[in-house]
Amino acid sequence: MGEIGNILLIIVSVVFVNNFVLAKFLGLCPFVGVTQKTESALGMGMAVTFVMAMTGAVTWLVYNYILLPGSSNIIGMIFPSIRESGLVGVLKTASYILVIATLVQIVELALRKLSPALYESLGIYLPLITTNCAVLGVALLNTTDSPERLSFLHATVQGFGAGLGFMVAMLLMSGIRERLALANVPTCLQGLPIAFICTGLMALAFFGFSGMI
Amino acid sequence: MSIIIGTFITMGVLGIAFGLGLAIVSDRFAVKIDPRVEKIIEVLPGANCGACGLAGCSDFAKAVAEGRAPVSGCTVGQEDVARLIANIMGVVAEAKEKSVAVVMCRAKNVVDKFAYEGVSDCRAAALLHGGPKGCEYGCIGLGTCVEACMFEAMRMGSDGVPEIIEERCTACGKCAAVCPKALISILPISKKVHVRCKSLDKGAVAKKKCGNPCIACKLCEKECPYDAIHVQNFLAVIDYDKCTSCGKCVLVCPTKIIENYEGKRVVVVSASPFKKVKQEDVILSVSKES
Repeated sequence: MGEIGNILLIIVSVVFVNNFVLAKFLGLCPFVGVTQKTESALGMGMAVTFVMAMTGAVTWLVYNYILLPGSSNIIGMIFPSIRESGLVGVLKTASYILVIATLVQIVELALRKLSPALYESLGIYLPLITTNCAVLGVALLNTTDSPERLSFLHATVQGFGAGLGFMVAMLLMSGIRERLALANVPTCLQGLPIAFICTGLMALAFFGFSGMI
Repeated sequence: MSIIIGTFITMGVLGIAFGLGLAIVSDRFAVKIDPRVEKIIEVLPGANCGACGLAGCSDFAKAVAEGRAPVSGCTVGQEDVARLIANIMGVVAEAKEKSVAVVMCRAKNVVDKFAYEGVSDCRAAALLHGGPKGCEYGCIGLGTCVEACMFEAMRMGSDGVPEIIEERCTACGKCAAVCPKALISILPISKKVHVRCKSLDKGAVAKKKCGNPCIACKLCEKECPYDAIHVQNFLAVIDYDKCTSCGKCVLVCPTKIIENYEGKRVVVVSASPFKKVKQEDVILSVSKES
């Protein structure tokens, strides 16, 4: 299979088979919080997609040139002992959080200047992407070495695909919840409980994709 | 030991690098904000109802600061807010009269055409043969307007037609916008005489459908000294530019469908809750905390 085939495989895998929300249950907070309306779900999905793709790219660089042991380690040039042990165990999560927070801030600043309308409509949810565990999940899963070490392109594509998967899940959920608003839901299940039941049913449906790849 | 020092140096360098990057980006994408916008947002009610014709309170504040909207544009805040905004902008607010919503139907003994068992929403019911009510011009009575009111200024009356609690009404027009029969009008509070029927049926037909119709007898038209009320399409219509609310037409109306609100305005029941907390707001605030 050629390079394009590989990239398509990664995207299909991460959007449907290993959907971050519905298969790994990451990022449930914005998934439940911002799916009241389709427009806000779409805006949030796009912002998260951008942040995830950028995170995939930048954390790959951090992982390969700062954290991993070996000759490519920049820190190892100053401290030879780090060249052997690396900083993976110590700094992985902390440095990734730093990357994500910076990227979200940049997105926020850029959006405020370039598209004030979108900035207004996303409101509080834009800085909240920082605390979205799905983004950290993308970074961490991108930089595990099993089953194989990803290339820079594949890591970026996987981040982008994870964002797409997140957006798909958000749009499906917002469609369901707009219908639920009109449905006759028992009082004890109104609001969040019925949303979680729907999430579970959607996850079951997405389970049908497993084994496809 | 070198691991610890290396860790500190790595995080320090990464932090400085990202910090510098952020500084450059924030300088490149700096946005100048008019300080008056923030001040105006503070004094606005924050209902985000859109009655000013703009997308929410912050948009209105921006429009005022740029001179695109009048300082008295907020119908919810009315005179008090207009005065505060005028102070911020350094201009004098022009006086604006309070308006209220009026329900133009007083359905009485209207028989249902069929039993409606769909979604409990007037808009949905109206799609099915114009709603279950025998009079296709009248109130369906499922209370969509009451749901739409953000200020709890409406309630369903005992006769199945919504009532306006006028002390709370801010004339935002949400109820008028959702009514599928367009029965709700936003009118100045000084206009006290209203024809509370929208039926375009001929007198005899209307009389069969409802106990309170306009039968287009033209007695009001003949009685009016100001030429302000006319029967058009079998319905008496008041020209509010000419009407002085003298109440003469009210006295001659045989079906008593022309109503004088003088002294009949619905009084406030309890202290006005400013904002009705909606379920989705609660969910949003929960998700912000988590």
